[in-house]
Formats: sequence, C-alpha cells, structure tokens
Amino acid sequence: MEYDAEKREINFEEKVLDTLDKFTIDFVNILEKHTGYVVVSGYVSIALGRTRASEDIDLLIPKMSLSEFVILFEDLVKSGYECANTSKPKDAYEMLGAHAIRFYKGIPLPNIEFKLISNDIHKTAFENRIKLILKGKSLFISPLELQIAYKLSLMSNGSLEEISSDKDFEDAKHLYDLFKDKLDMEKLLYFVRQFKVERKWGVLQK
Amino acid sequence: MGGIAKMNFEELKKEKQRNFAERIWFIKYWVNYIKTHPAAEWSKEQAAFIDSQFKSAENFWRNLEKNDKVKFEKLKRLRLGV
Repeated sequence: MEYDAEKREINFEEKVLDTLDKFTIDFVNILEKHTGYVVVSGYVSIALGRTRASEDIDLLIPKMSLSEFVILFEDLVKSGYECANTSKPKDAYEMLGAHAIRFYKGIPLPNIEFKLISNDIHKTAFENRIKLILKGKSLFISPLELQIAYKLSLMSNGSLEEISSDKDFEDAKHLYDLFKDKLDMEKLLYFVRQFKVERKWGVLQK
Repeated sequence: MGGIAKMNFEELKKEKQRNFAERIWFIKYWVNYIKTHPAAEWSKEQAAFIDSQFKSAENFWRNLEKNDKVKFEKLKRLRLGV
C-alpha cells in the first residue's frame, strides 16, 4: 500500500477485497455515472486496514437537481438497491435536503448512508478527496488529515482517563500510526484546532 | 441490598484503563504488521475477519426473512432507522 501525498493517491492494488469493499465498489460504480462523491468516516479506516467491520458506508455527494437524482435513484433500483426511507424518488430527494437517506440490497447490512454536502467540513472533504485504488477500481475518500481530526471530534466527551474503548479514537489512531510519515502535519494541526480536539490529539500521539 | 456486591469504582476505572491500553497496543501491533508484511497477506487476514462477521449477520437476516417475515421487516426498519 503506497500513499503518494503529492498526487493525493493511495495505491492498494494488491488488497484482498472484503464484503465492505465489494459492496462500496458496487454502489460507487452506479453512483459515479451520475455524480461526484467522497467516502467519509469508518470505512476510510477499514479500507486502509483497520480490523473492524461497519454496518454502514458514509458517502457525501454535491447537491443535484431533482431530475438528475431521479435518474440516479432509478439506476440504483434497477441494480437491486432499495432506499430504506421511501420507494418514491421525489420523496427521497426531499428527505435528502434535510437528512441522510440509506440504500441497501436485500438485507440491511451493510448499507449506504447517503448525504448531501451541506457544511464546510463536508466541502473540505470533497474538494480535497484522495484517490484510493483497490484492485484496479478507484474510490474517492476523505483526506486523512481531516479524517483523523474529525474522528477525534466524534469521540465521547467523557474523561479521557476513563475511556475503555472508542471506535472513533481507534480509527484515528490507526490512520495516524499508519501514515504519520506522509501526513501534512500543518494541515492536521489546523483541523485539530478547528475541531478543538487538542487534548485528544495529545493522547493519540502517544 | 442483600446479595448485590458493592461496586468498586476504583477497580472499574483501572479495568477500563487496562482495556484501553490493550486496544491501543493491538492497533500499534497491527499497524506494525501491515508495515512489515505484504499487503496481499495481511489484507487476506483482514478480509477473512470482516467477511466472517458479515457472514454470520447475513445468516441471521436470511433465516429471519425466511421464518418470520413480519419480524424481519420490523427489525429491518429499526436497524435502518426508518
């Protein structure tokens, strides 16, 4: 697995694909015919080697018109996906303006949580996304520096001395330890300050 | 209250700290393993771990769908948060 920070590309051609990889690739193959996207949150760490499963894959997409969305929705349905929230594309489009919607195939695990880019963090993730090449297939994932700081911000706010286990902290730790020689530390520290997670960042580096 | 052991919060705190330290130890161990082994090798192990979890979840859902459609639909909606 090679991370070329300048090209913003991780080459992971030799990865043995797991259920989550195959599910994500299958969904993205349809999605990218209609829109750009960025994969965020837990699956980013898992795709890069973290040993845990996740029930959902989180995706962000830019705003699209109703007619564009209807075509995407119908394409997904044709490929065997169901929208958990509604079977009507127009209703799904309206919901998407307010919250995430989910798509699944047959059984609810795994599923895709699908959200519109609606704030500066989302925008930063999308505009600075990096390419992850898995067995000849490219996926676009959130930049690692943002991902690490964001994951720290998701941690429970209890006493750091009393954490027993926290998947978000562990996801951040995995990414940091694996890529620390290649990360843009200035950028990472900027995000750490933005999310006000300086103390958690201190623990992460130990 | 008779029969219920007193909660030892100090011991509980130590237990949490031990658990946290063990989990962090494993992340460091696994990252080192990733860095020192061919990707085809460690990702095969990772895939086996992840796939086994999905396989057992899939068995659960498929059995439920086959044997109790009403419960399947109810749980499915609950799981998907709709």
